[in-house]
Amino acid sequence: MTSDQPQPPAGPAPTPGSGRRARLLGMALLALVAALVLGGCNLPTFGTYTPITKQEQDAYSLYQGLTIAAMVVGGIVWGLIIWCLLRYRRTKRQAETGELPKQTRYNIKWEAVYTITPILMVIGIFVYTVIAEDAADQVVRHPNVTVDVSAFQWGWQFNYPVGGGKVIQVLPKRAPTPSPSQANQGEQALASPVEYPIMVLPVNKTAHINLVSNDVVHGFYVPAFEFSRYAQPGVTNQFDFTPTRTGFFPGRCTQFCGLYHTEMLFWVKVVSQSAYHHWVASGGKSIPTNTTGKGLPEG
Amino acid sequence: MAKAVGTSKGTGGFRSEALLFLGTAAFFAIVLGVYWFSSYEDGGSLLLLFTVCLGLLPGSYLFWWSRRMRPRPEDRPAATLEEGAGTVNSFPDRSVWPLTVGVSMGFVALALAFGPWLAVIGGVVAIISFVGVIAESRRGGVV
Amino acid sequence: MTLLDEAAALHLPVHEEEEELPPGLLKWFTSTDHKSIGKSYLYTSMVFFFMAGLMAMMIRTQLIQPDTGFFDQATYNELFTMHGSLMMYLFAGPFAFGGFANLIIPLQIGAPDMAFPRLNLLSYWLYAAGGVIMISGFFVQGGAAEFGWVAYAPLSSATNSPGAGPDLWIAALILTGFSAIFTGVNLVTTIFYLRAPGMTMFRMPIFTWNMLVTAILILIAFPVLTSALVMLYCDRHFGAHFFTVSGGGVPILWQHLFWYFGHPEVYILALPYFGIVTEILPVFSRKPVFGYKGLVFATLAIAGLSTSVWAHHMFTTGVVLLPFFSGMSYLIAVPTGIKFFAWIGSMWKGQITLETPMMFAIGFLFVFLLGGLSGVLLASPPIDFFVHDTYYVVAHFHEVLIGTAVLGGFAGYYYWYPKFTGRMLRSRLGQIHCVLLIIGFILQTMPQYVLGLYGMARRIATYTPADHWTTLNVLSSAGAYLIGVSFLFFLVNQWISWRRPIPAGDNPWDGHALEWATSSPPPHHNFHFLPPIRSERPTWDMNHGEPARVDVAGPTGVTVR
Repeated sequence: MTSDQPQPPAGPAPTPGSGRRARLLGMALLALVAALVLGGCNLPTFGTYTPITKQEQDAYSLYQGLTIAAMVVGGIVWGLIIWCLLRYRRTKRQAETGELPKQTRYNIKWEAVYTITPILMVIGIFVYTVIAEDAADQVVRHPNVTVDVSAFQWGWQFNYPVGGGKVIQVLPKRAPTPSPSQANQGEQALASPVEYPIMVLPVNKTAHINLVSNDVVHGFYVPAFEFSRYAQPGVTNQFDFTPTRTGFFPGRCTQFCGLYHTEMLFWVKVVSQSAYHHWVASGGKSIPTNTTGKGLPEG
Repeated sequence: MAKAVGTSKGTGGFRSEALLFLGTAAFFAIVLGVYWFSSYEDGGSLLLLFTVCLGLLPGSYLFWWSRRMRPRPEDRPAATLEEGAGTVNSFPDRSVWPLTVGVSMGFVALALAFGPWLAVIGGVVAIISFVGVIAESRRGGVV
Repeated sequence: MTLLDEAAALHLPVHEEEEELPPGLLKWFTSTDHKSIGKSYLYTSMVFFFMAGLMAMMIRTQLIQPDTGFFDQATYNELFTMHGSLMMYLFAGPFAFGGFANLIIPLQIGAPDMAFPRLNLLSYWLYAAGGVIMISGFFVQGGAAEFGWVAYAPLSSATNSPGAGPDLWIAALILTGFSAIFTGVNLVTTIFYLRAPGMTMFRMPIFTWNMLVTAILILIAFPVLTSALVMLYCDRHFGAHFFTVSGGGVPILWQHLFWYFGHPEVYILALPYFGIVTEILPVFSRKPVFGYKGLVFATLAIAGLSTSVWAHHMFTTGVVLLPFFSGMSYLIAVPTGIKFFAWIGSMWKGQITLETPMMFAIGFLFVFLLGGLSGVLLASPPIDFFVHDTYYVVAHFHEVLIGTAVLGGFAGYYYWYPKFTGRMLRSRLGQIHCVLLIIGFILQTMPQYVLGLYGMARRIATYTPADHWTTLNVLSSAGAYLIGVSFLFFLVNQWISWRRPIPAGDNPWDGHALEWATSSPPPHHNFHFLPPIRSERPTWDMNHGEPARVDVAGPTGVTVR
């Protein structure tokens, strides 16, 4: 998908005599695109995690492609600026004689080029965006697992309706909830450590999340899943995760939600399907809820 | 709007200015149409509607005048400076009232946090200042 | 170039009353001269800028290591809220539409003053009062507001944010909101009614055009903010339920209202600085601006689109129409690209000299491009899901805003300082200021992109060693300190210029627009004479003996030599 990224614009050279340079530039770009096509899937991650869920794969490719396109465009524009700075400095002779450059005010041809090229690029990007966005927001009709997530100041609660009217509840062990007045007196620098709640998900199964907030706006964010969504009072946000490998991943609140926003953490533990069934059978007790593990996924 | 440059000789003044605001109204009318029929979200649509009105109000006023007035010297590319002769306007050099209005409005705003008694103080000073500024501008000049 | 003295006599205003101005502070406080008000705005907003900059350095000090505990969480929350509020509401906007617009626009269009001088002074005093009230939040019980500069409901409700601090924040913004609206009205009226003969709309300098468009954006955006704040205040104190679920309100409405103001606001902060850069690049390339009309229409397009994309700040709310806002946001890239290529076109085959304003303008091009490109990525909802409310976004908007308001703003300051003071700033110190600022700035923001991709959320007061964010945060903090150091050079430069002035002369840069035709500083009511206005750069025409032609720019590449 990244191979046929929209092409970056040819740089402007608002003078008629630069056709050859433009052709050279075009060939260089063609070579670059060809390299990307041949490079195929081995594109760099550009600092981000390879998302673990199925829903974000398209978005990840889009991110790679857009980053490359941005780098190419940025490189061309920076290059043109640097070229101007190197090539078109005022010389001593020009300063002495007071000779002036050609006073070019318009060049309709180049103006049209640098108007139309970005429009075409934008249309291309937009199409891919809509595709990736549909994948990210896709919700299946019959999920394997349903998790009701509620955010509150300052913590998370995960409820698993496991059938037969039973619900497994996962809560933070000791939520830091001092009253705001206490906080304003500056009594507490950082809340004491708590055991953050763990959201357990089975690998390769689709989990459906219903996200609500009990008080203010929170942001549900799992960096390894490359996904964030607001938890808002009065709104139930729904989305699916299909994790493709096991692991222990950190999550946190991203939308500033008051005093202990920083402490509003949770973990996502993706386990094998048998481990998940075991966990459900034990009523949510078989997995230890310590948070000492190192949570960052590799690359 | 581009046409206005070359052709403004034959038409009235304020043409570009009127088209600027009318263009604003037209653009947001289109956006409003697209947005309303694709989202049916009322908050944003209402805001867009108000923005259309904002473009329409001064735009239609200027356009109305533009049809009825001769182009001013600043509307004509070939105008000479002599054509702008005469009194431009009369401008005050100094005035103490903006300071008192500003500070008293500051007190009124502080009332939002500390109680209405501040608004009483600020309001009294503000009324005196408004009288002052109006009297001053009646003596000559615009506010 | 005939006529000039008579024309001056003809174009002079009538003085309201010939009285001696009182000396000292009272003169400063009561003068309705646009230059005096402009300078007040410029220096007041600069004071707020330095305050907010110090807060930024405190924030970076807190984050330089995991668990520094330099500030407790409540203080940290106050700091970033006030940093954002001061920078956005009290510095970046007023610096341009209060400071530069007031100083320069009457000069550029050949007007004796702004249309409504007393209203102009009132704008300044409302702004000053608002600024003082916002700062005073730190000194009341409970401290300043702690809800970010966006004040999302219901976090900003009376239960979640009690105390006088948030009320003071609201009061301050209502005042500065009115100040901005008055300035907007004043600017539009001045530009529509007070242009000199021959100064048609399409001969106005690009800076004036951009300020006109900015003023219209102010008129669109600020009333929405002010009314939203009144609603918020009613929620807090009179039991209204606009933004609370319990009373049947809709919290998301706040986000719609706020961003309907907030996104145009971003361009209210950016467009004036685009204009400044467009003034500077051609002057120091000794060429006219390239693609003048393209630039004007690009500005109009940016303004229109910027008011149609408010919900791209709300992609992750799950309740907005993603493709509409995403597509409109992408479209902004087109006029912005036109601007970039017009800037490059203005330099192309010119004779570039790197005086201080030009260096800042080039720095603007480099830095703003970074912010603009990451903005294209953020306009894509699925990518926004990656990084929403993380340091990626922080890096993005700091690049955009520092690129425009700080680099563009100080480019304008160095450019016009000779005009409004009659003195030069030392160019060597200015160049050091510029280089350190750009290096510090890139050092500060580039690691933040990576931090955001690693999952570091915005507005968190601390992190743990296990997060592995330490090295990048050290780099980022070092960049912030370097920015602080660079401004010491600026202050020294100011000091030297104040103590040992170098006279600037009327036109030190061989400028293009009308402001360079008058003396430095300009006389009372600005002009003793005006050059004939036959193109968009009358002063250049006067100095270089350009033909007194009637400006008809044909569609086929008119070249005038």
